[in-house]
Amino acid sequence: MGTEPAEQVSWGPYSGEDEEVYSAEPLPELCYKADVQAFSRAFQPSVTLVVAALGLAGNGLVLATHLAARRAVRSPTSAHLLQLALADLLLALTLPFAAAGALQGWSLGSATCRAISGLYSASFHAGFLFLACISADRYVAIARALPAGPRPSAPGRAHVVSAIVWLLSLLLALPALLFSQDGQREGQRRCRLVFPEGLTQTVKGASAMAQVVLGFALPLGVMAACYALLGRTLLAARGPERRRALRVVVALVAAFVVLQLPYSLALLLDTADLLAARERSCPASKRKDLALLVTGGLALARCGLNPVLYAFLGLRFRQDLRRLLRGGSCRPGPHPRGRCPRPPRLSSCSAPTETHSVSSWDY
Amino acid sequence: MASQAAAILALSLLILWTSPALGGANDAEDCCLSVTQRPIPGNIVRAFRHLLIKDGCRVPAVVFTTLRGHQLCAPPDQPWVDRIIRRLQKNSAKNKRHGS
Repeated sequence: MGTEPAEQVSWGPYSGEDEEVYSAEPLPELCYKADVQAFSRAFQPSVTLVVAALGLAGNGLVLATHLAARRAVRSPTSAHLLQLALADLLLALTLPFAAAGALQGWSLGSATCRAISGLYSASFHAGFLFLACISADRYVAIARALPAGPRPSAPGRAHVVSAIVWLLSLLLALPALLFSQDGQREGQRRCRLVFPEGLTQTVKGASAMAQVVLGFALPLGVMAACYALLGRTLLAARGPERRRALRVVVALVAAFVVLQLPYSLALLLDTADLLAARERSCPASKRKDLALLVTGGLALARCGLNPVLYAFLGLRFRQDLRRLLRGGSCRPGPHPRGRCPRPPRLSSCSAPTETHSVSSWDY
Repeated sequence: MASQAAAILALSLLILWTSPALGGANDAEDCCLSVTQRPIPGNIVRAFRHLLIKDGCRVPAVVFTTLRGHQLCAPPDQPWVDRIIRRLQKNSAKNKRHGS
């Protein structure tokens, strides 16, 4: 019984053993993430710059082709495809800023930080919402085309929907617009979203719930339902174009599942952690950061690949592109500077096997 | 009426949306994942710094560097933490006076 109780030792003058007493029971220590940060410094700018280049070129081409064709937007799908290209182009414009900020710190001040973050957030959400719109448009087009032949849908309604989507996206970007700030940490300035400390836990919980329900479940539900119904309709349909249309649907769904779903799920798990105030160990927290980083890069890649998946696979786009590249003529030679003769359904440039029911949704 | 109220509620919730950070993912900052509720003896602490929400951390904390170089996480709103911080500040002021 000659030793003092542990409690007293730990409060005594420092002897070298005190910390042993304390580190025997794990005390929460700072979680160093130097390895994740090193990976992020290499991964983030390279992905960001590649996606920016792809996105600027692809979406720029989509918009340029549309402007050059000077065609009034006909179907809701084509209207939403244009808006999708616009959203992705805006997103791609913000990416070089993000890459520069990740590489050498944010040097453009708080106002620019807010503007760029707001634009990034708004265009990211707009892209996601327009994808859901396109899936709905396509289902409606197919469902209409099948029993009683295609009926023209009001183009005005597509514009109203587009306006609502942009308004919603701006609303969703409000936190980024309001609360982004350029803060200093360990000698580097960063542009990041910092919620004011006054926000209570219930408010944070409510906002996280809104994010999960409206940002994840709703678009995913719309897309899943529309493409499932569409697939079923196509499987029941007959005709030479069926296989091609099915292939496009499968490609779209696969791309969405591979590119967007992992990030949405990672975000969902992260939000669940935040809501449950769950404590993770340092290695688990690093794994989570790594998962968010990699899946976030994939989700970003979606904006560079959208033109390929949605516009380039379409017939009318390919015709217009051909026309744009050949300086306004359909074929070199026989038609001198004339625009390609365009009957209401398909132009003479398209393959004869591709028929109306495909072109009505596969722009 | 009920659907209108629901729409307004949904919109006001949407305003508080937390969107993905610029660059695709959140920064992996060095942060405290939790804080100790058991007081740390002040005499094993050599230095302190704050890692707050504005630094990109979810759990605001005071980080105490111990004599052995461990970085312990403490809650910023506890009186025992304030006491240690005051003592460290007093000590560093004393050292500066000695140094000059």
